[in-house]
Amino acid sequence: MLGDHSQLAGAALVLADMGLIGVAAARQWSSFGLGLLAAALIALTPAHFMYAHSAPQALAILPFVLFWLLAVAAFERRGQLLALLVGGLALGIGCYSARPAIVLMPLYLAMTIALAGWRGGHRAWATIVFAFVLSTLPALIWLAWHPDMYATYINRYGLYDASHLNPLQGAKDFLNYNNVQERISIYWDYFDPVYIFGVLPVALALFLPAGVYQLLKRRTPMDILLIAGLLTSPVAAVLANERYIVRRQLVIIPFAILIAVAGVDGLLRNRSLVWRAVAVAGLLAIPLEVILSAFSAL
Amino acid sequence: MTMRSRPWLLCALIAVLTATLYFRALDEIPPHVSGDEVKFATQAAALASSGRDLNGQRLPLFLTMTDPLISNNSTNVWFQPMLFYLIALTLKVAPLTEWSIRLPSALIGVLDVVLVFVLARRLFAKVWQAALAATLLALAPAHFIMSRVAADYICSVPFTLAWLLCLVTFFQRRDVRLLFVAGLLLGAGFYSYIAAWVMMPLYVLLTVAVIWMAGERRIAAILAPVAGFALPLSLFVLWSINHPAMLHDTLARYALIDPQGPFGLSAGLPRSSNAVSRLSVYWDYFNPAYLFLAGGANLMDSTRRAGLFLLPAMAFVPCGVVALWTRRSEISSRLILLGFVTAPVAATLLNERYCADRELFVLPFATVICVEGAASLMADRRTAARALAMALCLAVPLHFAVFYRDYTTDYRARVVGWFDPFETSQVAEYVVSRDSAEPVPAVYLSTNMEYMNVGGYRWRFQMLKHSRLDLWARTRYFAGPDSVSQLPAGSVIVFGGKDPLLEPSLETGQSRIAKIVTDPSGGRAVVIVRAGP
Repeated sequence: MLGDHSQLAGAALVLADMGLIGVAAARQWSSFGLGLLAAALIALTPAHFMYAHSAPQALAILPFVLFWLLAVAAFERRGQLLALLVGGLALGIGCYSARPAIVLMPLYLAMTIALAGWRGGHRAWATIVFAFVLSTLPALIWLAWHPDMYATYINRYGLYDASHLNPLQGAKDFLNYNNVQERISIYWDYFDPVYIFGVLPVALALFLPAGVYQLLKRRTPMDILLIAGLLTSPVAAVLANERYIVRRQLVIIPFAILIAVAGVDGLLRNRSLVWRAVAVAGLLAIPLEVILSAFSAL
Repeated sequence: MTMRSRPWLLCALIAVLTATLYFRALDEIPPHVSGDEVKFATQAAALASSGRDLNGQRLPLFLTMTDPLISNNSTNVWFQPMLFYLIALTLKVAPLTEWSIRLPSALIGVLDVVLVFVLARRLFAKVWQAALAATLLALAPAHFIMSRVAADYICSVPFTLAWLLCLVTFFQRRDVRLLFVAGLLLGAGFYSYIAAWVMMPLYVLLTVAVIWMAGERRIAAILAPVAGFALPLSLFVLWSINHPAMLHDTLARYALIDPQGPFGLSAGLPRSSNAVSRLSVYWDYFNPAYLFLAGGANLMDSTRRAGLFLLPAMAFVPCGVVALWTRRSEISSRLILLGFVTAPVAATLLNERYCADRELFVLPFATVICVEGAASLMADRRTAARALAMALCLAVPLHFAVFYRDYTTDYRARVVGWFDPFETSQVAEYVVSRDSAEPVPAVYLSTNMEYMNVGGYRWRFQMLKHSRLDLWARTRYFAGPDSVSQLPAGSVIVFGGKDPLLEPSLETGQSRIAKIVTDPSGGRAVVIVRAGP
């Protein structure tokens, strides 16, 4: 019975993610086709597929991230503070979704403040901070009543010995040379192509760099935000000192797919027939990978 | 003094400063001599004295590393010739010491610095950029460390730099003879270090590719580097025909062929099953923690407290890559970027992760990229960017000072066991002094000290250093505890500190401990036992 509920939740999350990323891509790149492609890509992403079946709770963070991205994109287009309010609420509520969210949502808030401050001034960033604080208020109150929770979390993440050190001492301890070296190394490994293209469809090995190239050429605030999201995706895992833990880095999926879709778009629009052919081959490789995986699973 | 001569005076000054830094305390740091160093030194000494290696081969092209204490010993380990002959030349004019055997590597290090200065003068407009290139290479921890050991890791770097210089000059003058010289340098560099077997042919391909990309369509231009490369390589072909074991042994040693496999096909070349894991190895060679913070995994290649490059390079390299990428239509930009991304190919092919000595080819390219990064920051309109560039340039000597302090103090203690866990120099001093007081009939080395065929070489090096080849002639491997009673009284048996043969040998009652040699941490490195009741 519990299994049925879990599968139902997994299916619901898949559908929500497909719908949200489809809308996000369609709006971002002004193409219904690219929206469909994004939706298909997220459904065929190996990590997304596997977690939807085995541990859907790990995917719970994704709809909130996608809601936030949609909200920021809407603010970026129309400058409406309401969009930022929704974005802030999505980030705040998202804090309760999965363990990495505690690190990532405040990070996304900071990224949004940087973007909103640049685009809409102090009213914009005040709006999103208000929404975020409002939605995280229960957690803050809970923490005030249960201060040991903080130490438990810090210790669980292995940031520093919170039972003996204060946060300042902890920061000093964390930033020692060997630890920084180790954490940079872990961060780097989260972009190891062998690992990352086990999490994402192999075809993204082509489309992701192409997408990054497209975004860097254009460099709109939203483009920068997507790249920042991609680059910061392993932060929670790095802080937790965990190497190659997919569930800690699932947020890479929406960023990678949205960027890859930009890559597909860029390649298909390329004047060179070779690049267009490569793009088509890459797209055909996606279902092929699924079929091969299905056969190997049998 | 003319304006024209000033850059070269600056170059000379940097070279002198580099030499001062690189030659200082060369006999003391690193402490002792490593297993590879004693092999180079003893074989070179044999070449210098008789023109033959320790196996009796006259002027060999490749040297086989059989154990000199075992007659008719066989091994699959072959070494590249270049450093043997350079050390042999040094030993023609200087006695064998730690300093003299490391001198050729240190000289190569200084030569690299001069070459990178000249290269940067060709690539960049301003003199300070060439000076920065020379300084960055001279102070790069990996370059500094590898230039201070009598091992051939550093030997490929001057060939890579000189090849780059020829190529860059060709793009400015379009003189085909330069391409021939470039090929010739790559061919000669082929004999410098094992990784050059992969990298030098790759650079020939890269040469042909970039001259094609540069719009050069003359057949002579395409053929010149190939012909230049083929000329020195013909020696390799002839040698391999006469010594087929060398090629077979070397490829098998690095798992590039499987002697048991069908047709001897490769176990190590990237077939589909392991190509994926090689990609991961390749990726790790660009890990910033490896490049800028920790360096190679082997403590003999790195202090583990500084990367291959100093910390400021962590900012310069990305800026330089971006600057070169934006100017990628220029052929020199493509060449440098391609050189940078292909630098770990040999190490990747050998499936070795974080192996700095296999990846020293990255040094010239990364140095040029750093200077490009510094130049792009200095050219930025924003004051903050220019201030950052200045601060980073100033941080170069500061970080080097921190690294150097560790290298000359703590690192010495950390690495001593890696270079010689058996404190062979102390053992030799004891045995030599003992022999002066009362003749030692024979010296027996425990077979447990024979790790990787080095035991005999270590002992021979010490005997050569003490000019006591008579003691060497009396040295054997210890046959085991059962033989103790038959050893001539007064003979010396040398055991490792944790040698399992030690206790049974003492229990025979026919031997007693004469001396315990300790390592710097106070641990028992070696136990010297005297045979006789």
